[in-house]
Amino acid sequence: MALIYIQNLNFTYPNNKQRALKNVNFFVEEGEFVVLCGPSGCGKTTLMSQLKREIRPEGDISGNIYYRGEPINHMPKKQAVEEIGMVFQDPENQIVLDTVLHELAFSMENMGYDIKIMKKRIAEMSNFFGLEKMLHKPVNELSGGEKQILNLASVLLLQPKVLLLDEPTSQLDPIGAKRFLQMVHRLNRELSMTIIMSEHRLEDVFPLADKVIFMQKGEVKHMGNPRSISYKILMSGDAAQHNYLPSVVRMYSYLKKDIEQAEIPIDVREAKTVICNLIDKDEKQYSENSDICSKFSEKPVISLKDVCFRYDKNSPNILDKLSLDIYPGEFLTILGGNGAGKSTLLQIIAGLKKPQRGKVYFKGREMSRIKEGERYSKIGYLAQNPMLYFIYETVEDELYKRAEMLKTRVDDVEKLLMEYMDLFNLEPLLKRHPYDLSGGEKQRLAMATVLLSKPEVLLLDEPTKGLDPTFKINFQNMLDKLIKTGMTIIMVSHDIEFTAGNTYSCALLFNGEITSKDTSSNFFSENYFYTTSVNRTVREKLPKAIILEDVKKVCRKERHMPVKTASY
Amino acid sequence: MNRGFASLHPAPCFLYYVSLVLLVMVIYHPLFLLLALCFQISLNIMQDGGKRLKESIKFYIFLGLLIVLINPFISHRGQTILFYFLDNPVTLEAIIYGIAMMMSLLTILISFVSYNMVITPDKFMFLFSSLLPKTVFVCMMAMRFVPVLKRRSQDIALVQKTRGTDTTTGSFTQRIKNGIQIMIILITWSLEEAIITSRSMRARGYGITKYRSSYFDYKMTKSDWAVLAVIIFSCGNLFYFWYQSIGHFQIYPKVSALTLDIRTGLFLVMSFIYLSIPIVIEGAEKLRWL
Repeated sequence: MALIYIQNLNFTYPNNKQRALKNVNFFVEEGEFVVLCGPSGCGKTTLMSQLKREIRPEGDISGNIYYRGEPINHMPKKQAVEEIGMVFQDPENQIVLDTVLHELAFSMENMGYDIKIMKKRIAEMSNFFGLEKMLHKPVNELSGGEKQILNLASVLLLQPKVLLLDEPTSQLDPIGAKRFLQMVHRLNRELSMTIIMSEHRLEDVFPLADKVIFMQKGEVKHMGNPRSISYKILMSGDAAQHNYLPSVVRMYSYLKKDIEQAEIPIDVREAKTVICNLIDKDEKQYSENSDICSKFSEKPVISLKDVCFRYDKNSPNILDKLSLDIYPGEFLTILGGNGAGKSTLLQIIAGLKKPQRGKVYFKGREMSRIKEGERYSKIGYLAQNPMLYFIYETVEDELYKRAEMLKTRVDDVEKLLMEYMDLFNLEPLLKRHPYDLSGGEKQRLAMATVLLSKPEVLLLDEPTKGLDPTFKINFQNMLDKLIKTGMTIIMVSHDIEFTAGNTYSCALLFNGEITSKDTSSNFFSENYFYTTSVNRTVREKLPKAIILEDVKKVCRKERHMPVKTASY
Repeated sequence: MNRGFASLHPAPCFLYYVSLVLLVMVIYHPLFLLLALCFQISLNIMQDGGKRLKESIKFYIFLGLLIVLINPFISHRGQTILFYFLDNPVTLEAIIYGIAMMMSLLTILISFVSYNMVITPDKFMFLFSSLLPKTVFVCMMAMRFVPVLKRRSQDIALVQKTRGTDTTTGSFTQRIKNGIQIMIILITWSLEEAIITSRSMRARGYGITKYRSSYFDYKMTKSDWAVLAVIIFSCGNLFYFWYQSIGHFQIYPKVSALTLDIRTGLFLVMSFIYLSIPIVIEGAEKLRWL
């Protein structure tokens, strides 16, 4: 008997014609690790909340959900809370109380457990997750990754049988995300806990999953174990779906003519043996110009000289004698660990924070001498959370009132507005409230309003956080267009796969200074961990290949020039 | 920090601080007040080397001196007129009353500093969670939200500054307008995020059972009971003495002389016992580590 059996499930939100879930059918066995994937708005979250009775949204529902053979609605309330636990996407807002200990106790207190049981379970759980040292800390002192682990622990204290995870790692940095996934993997393997998880970043969860369900527009499109679902998606011929597959799978499908299901690699280890055999070419010499300065002969547009910054008198320097030059037309990504000061650096470049020591120059002029109004319109700054930008009731107001304000400063602002409305595809959203937009739409709107002031430099703080692959590809195209207009872009990001494919140069912020700045391909090919899975797979053969496109380039060359191959 | 006085059960500690504040407000005997003040300062020094006290002591002393200086000029009660100031009599009684008020106020303020070290929010919640469970729960949620809202408003202010909505420049009315703008964003945004919090609360079964249990747990040990007994005994006695006007120090209308009879002696001994309780506990702990 399957643990969860979903039969012909349909769901429609109120005042909505389209069904959010269409004829969903699947079952989950006890101890299975199920991954739900698909574009944003495909119904992943809706499906999961159907399984969690307490938060099920209002709407028309038909079909059945069985839990251990019984309709899920017949379950006693208390049992439903205890046996089905859920962790949400946003680590911050799930937390209810002030300190770690209170938060851990919260769910058990709700159940009215005896204090002896609570103490025992908290003791055990703190051990498992290594929380002992932070039990009495206020939650706002924890990092995003730690917060999400706390949320997980608080749910686990009720000893659930099924764990629902709604994109739990999308807001975390790569290290926090890996740590979280490892925990979930342990729970699955050691306690045989059933896990249903939705996720965009398949690279990391693919090797862990027993079953992957691919959804699109409320329907289950494909289902199967990682290998078989890869096979199904590759065979389906829908290129948009391919983007959801891990890059090793995509690389395999590109290199191999007739795909065999059993051979599809699902992680780097497997990919190394399979794929390296497929590349019969050693392209050690394949390289582009490596000198970063050679491309830019002009003077730097932004230049930082020995910048030091700290938040308090007594705290350590976050930035320590940092120097950095950024040239016109450059697309630079700054990478670095959590709390390395990336966002702070960006705010200093934007002229929002003043360094205690050192100078920041914008086109040779000292930043603090430039009037605030001019500074902020020449250097556009897009913060991590687009919600910070919205003041008005509709998208339309947000755009037009902003344009109105800028009329005196930017001459052709109306033309610009039309251009960006087109580029960011905002036309269909005009009548909506900014808060009702999806994450990607919010990002686009905020960016359009920032760009209306015609900035020469655009600063982006983690623009791809929590967004799906389809959006990332669109976003990449938008940035390409902006770069072509001569704009300089500086981005701070954790997203290695996105950075590697798109940016011209990369810099690593570590210990308060920029430790290395280089072209993307040089930067990543020299790294060991801090690089893409494509590079990790093929680095012996093609050390400079960072993304799938690089591999394609080489191998295409090979196909066009059979003579050269023969000479090997 | 869970050493010395703070390592006791919160109930005796809380009772001690509450009774101390009440006693220094009703008893004007100068020796009692002086002793209370000195012991509270020593307690602070024993607890954290006086670090926290140092942060605010200047302001407290300023406040105390203000009372001493102002009281004689606004209060003209009392029979012993010392001199006239702008045709108003300045009396000895008013000066002495001012000093007594200063000592009582300083004692209260300084005892709050050590109170904050001893009765942490956790312990406070424990004390009241059985009495006012809902209120305590709301307090705990609020305590989480204060830093969150503060950070959010800073984030908003930073971003809005780039769009000319700045609370640090411009005319007064413009600044107020901009401040309101930022508040509006903060509130709408926070309400939006609160929906997630409420989902997470429901998902973890808030409101499912009739009675929530409470994790706070402090057990009364034998020594806690002993300390509690001493506190109740000594402060009970002091209240009784006060009620019987034993050790009463009369200020108005005419300041009385300090006399020492058996009953006043008993009052002073009891005061000493009562006021030295936390010092003795801290001291015993310190001795153990010598």
